[in-house]
Amino acid sequence: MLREAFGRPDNHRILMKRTFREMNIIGIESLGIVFMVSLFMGMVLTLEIAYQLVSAWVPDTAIGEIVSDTTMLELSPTITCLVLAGRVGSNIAAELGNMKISEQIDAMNIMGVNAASYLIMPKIVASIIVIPMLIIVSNALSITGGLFIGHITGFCSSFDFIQGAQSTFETFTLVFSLIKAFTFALIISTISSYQGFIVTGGAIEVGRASTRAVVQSSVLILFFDYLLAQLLL
Amino acid sequence: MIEVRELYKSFEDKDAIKNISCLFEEGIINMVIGSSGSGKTVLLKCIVGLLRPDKGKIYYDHQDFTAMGYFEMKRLRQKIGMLFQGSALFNSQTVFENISFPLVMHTSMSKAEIRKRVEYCLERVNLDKKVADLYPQELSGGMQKRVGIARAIANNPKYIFYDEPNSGLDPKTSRVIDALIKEISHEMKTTTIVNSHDMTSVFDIADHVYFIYEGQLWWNGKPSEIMHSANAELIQMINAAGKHE
Repeated sequence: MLREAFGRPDNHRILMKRTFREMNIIGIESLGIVFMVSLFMGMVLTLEIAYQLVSAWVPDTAIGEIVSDTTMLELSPTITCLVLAGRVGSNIAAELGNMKISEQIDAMNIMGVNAASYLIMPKIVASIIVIPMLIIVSNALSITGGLFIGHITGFCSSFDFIQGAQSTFETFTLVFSLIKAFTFALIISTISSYQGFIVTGGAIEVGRASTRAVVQSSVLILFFDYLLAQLLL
Repeated sequence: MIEVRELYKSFEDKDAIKNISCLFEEGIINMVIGSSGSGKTVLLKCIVGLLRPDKGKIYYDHQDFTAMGYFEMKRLRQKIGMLFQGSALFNSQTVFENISFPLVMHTSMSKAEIRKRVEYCLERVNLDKKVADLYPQELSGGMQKRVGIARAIANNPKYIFYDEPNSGLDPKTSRVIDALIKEISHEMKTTTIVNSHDMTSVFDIADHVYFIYEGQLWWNGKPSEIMHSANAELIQMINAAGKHE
């Protein structure tokens, strides 16, 4: 299926158009949920770190250091992509599954159009472009959430938080975050497209494919989360 | 012209079609009939390449379709139009986008030329231009079938297939669709294959009939010869449909 999906497109202009459409669906339409998840993630993380670490022996900058590093290395890419596996993955599997059972994919094939390339390639390309962008937004929002809650609860001043975050920042941390985002984007889009594309039967099977897409994507995200940490850190 | 030679297709242990050979001439309506589960849809899917036959050959104007490579098959498919049983219209696209789909994908026509062609196709299937901006789910079953036919003829196909064109339609709309199929086939001089179990359609529009029973070709001939055939299953099917004359 992937070989067909990345075969020579029938029409490059249409492919571009469809990729932008998918970028809108996967990226812009996911901004709301990414915003909510990231902001609360940063806020909760700050409170929990403060609960464990605030004492006379720990420098005031520690919360900022830990929140920013943990956010970029682990929480933003992993949690956000798990949420996106639910939102985007189920959407892709259900859309393709419905097209499959209503013979729309057969109709494309009969018209001499490579359905896998027309339908799947834009989703994969759009995912690997916009999901890393969403992760950058998520990193920023999560750290901002932490900064905000640290300031209003009085656990750490904004100055200390920012100083802490800046003192431990390394470019590789952000690169690692983006490598994860890219890998997870590939997992979500390919697994979900595959599950949607192989559906046979009716509405119940489409529902099942959608669930399988989310479960398999989530498990693979967790597995690759471990693998990438083991290999790159 | 499409020729099928000794075609076999089975699923697991069950034979869906066995040793079917037939010749579908161009410019006439070839109708494949049989009760549900007789193997007509499997035969049609093999002919258009959605299913790969286990054995046998299919020739499109003497070109061996079963031996064609991916790109060769793709080129041939650009000359094929098909109306699916459930219409199979792309429900995320408007009627205009549905009909223009093969033109956009395979031709270098300008936007104005595409619009003109879509309007012609809509007119040809007796639909108003205003329908172009609607989505398939906003149309009735009969209108969806007509849009399906308009999409099938958009690219001036050489071969047109109709899978159960009357399924889910009331008798009056069925006759309208039948009339449309007849007009289009004779006008465009295409090789037309219609899968149906509607006996009224058989007597109204078919030029040549192939009767499939339990995956095998049991009888073929002109509709006028059906009542004189000695085929018990075929007569039974006609009697069950209540068409005796």
